[in-house]
Amino acid sequence: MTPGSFRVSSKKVGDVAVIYPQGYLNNVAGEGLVHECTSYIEKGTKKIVISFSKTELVNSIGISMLLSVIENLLNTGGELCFTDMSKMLKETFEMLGLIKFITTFDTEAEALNYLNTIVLA
Amino acid sequence: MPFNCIPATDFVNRTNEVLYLKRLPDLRERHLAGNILLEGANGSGKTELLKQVYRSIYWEDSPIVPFYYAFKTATLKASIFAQDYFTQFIRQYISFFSKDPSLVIGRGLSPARAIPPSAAWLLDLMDEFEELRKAGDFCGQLLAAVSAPAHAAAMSGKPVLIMLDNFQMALRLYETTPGDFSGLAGFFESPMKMNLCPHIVTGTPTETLESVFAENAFRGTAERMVLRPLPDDVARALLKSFCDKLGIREERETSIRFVRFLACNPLYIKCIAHSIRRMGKKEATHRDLWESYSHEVSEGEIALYWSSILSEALREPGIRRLAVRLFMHLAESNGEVTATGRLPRMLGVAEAEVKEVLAALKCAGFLTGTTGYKVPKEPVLRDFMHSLYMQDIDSKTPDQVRELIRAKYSEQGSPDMCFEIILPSVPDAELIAAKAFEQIAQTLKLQPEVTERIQLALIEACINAMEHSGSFERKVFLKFRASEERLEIAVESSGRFFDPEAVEDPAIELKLTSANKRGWGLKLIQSIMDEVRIERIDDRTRVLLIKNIKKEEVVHDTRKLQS
Repeated sequence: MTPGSFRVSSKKVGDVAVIYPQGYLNNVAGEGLVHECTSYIEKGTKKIVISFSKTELVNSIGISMLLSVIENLLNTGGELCFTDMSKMLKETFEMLGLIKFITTFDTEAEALNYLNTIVLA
Repeated sequence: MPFNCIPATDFVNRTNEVLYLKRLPDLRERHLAGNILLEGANGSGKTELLKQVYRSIYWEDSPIVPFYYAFKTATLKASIFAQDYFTQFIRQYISFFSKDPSLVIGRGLSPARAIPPSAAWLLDLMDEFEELRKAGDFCGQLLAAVSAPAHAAAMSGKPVLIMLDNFQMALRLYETTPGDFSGLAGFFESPMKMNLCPHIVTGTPTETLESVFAENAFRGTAERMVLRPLPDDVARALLKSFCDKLGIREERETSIRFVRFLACNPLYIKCIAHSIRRMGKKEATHRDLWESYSHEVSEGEIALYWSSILSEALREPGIRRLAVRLFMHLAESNGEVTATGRLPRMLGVAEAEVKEVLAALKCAGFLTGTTGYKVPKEPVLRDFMHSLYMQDIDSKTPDQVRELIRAKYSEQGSPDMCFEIILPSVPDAELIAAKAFEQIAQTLKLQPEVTERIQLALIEACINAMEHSGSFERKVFLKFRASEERLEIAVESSGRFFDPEAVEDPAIELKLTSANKRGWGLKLIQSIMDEVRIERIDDRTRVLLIKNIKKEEVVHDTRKLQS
């Protein structure tokens, strides 16, 4: 594990925003992630997928930032999916209880299929 | 006797505790502290801490008068106890003002003749006590004795710091014959409520002491102070200090492994050092240490220490054999065992007798358990009981017992690898620690998944050290110690102490709606490591991450590591 500097990229697939945090998700990076998600939520997006395929490490500060994203989206009645998590990351989220507020999938495609089937108010 | 203590320089890593206890009267007066219930394992230094506090206050020009009393089996009859307690107090009180320790140990002037004019009221106190004694009023004597420090504090305006050792024995105070009168410990309730008389109370086992303070009379009067084991390197420094004084050479790595086995218990460490000297050794090699250990645990001072506790717990002669058999039976069992059912049948003993012995062993700290009984993990206690078993049941000679225990620990095991790194407290410095550990993990051939988890724990500990210490030093000190079976990472920083007791277990539901969503680090670390110790060493906080390496966590085919 040699986490590089953090970047976040995103794309819109229909009414779903897919976010790709890359590298080491810590305080600075976490703020970038929250900012990216918030900008979609403010524009009315209620379905967000966070793909961890390019994330090398999430520390406890990064986890607190993910909680902010969850809170923001839950307040709008939205749906958040996590995909492409490493085994360790998934177990960490389970142990801390984050998993109760999100839906997880192995791949981004599975998450998109699921979100396409649901209608949010 | 309060003056019978080790030099202050040998009483290591307890400076904060000594300072806090010395400040107790001041804190109590300002309602910032209550009485103290001092807890800790056998041999952790509770008695020594009280004596160090006593000596320190005694020789200072302090407005606080120290009073130390240790309950003893011989003085549990109420009238004898009252006389002893009262006399000890008067002697120590007068001795404090005259700075004449000989008064405490009962030599020199008679106490009455040494009373300073400013404390003439002590004579009235002594006369009143004498009248109660002559009248045979045991309740009156008891009340007068336990109230004497409070009375003195009220008369002089000088607080009395009361230190009660072996307080669990107060539960056994009796009028005429043992067990004839329960609740005499309740006489301490009133003095304990006086602000001018803060009490520090200690003894073992913790459960018995805590049960006293959970009762109505004492409820809410005490706060807990726990004496935790010494850190490994401090314990080794203690062993080295003893060895240096005794002219014995020791080797750092061997000593560290050995003191770790002794659970860093200062009493054991002292006993071992003296044992090595008695054996005429000039060096404390691996072999010498285990040789002295086998002697100590079977017939030395450690054995004597545990024997006295065992005798105290099992006062009926002849019952020790059953206690030893029960202990060894439980030591071989997994999980907790109850006193009913198979156990009495297997040992061919009446259920009532088994129950009684098990309860006594638990009360004395030989057994633990919530619903049943089990043997603590401490190997020294287990080896002591095993040596008794070999002597009492297997009829082995002392030489045979020593040899069998020594042989058990004769293999040296793999040597430790040690690395040290100093990190600057700058953003992302924790990644340097993670990278360094990656190299160590490769040497240990850890599974990549295991490596990643430990890296995360290490990163969290580093972030914690950098964020919470507030140190001007702005450095984090890392020490890695690894063998095939065990990994230890010490993360140290100076500055504010990180108090784990002050960290609440984060609840996700609350965190989700809270403005402060942080606070997951310690929980993450604890979920990954087998043991997490947070220790204070002088002005530093050390977070010690411990992982016992299992066979399945190691890559046996090293090609997998390279891929």
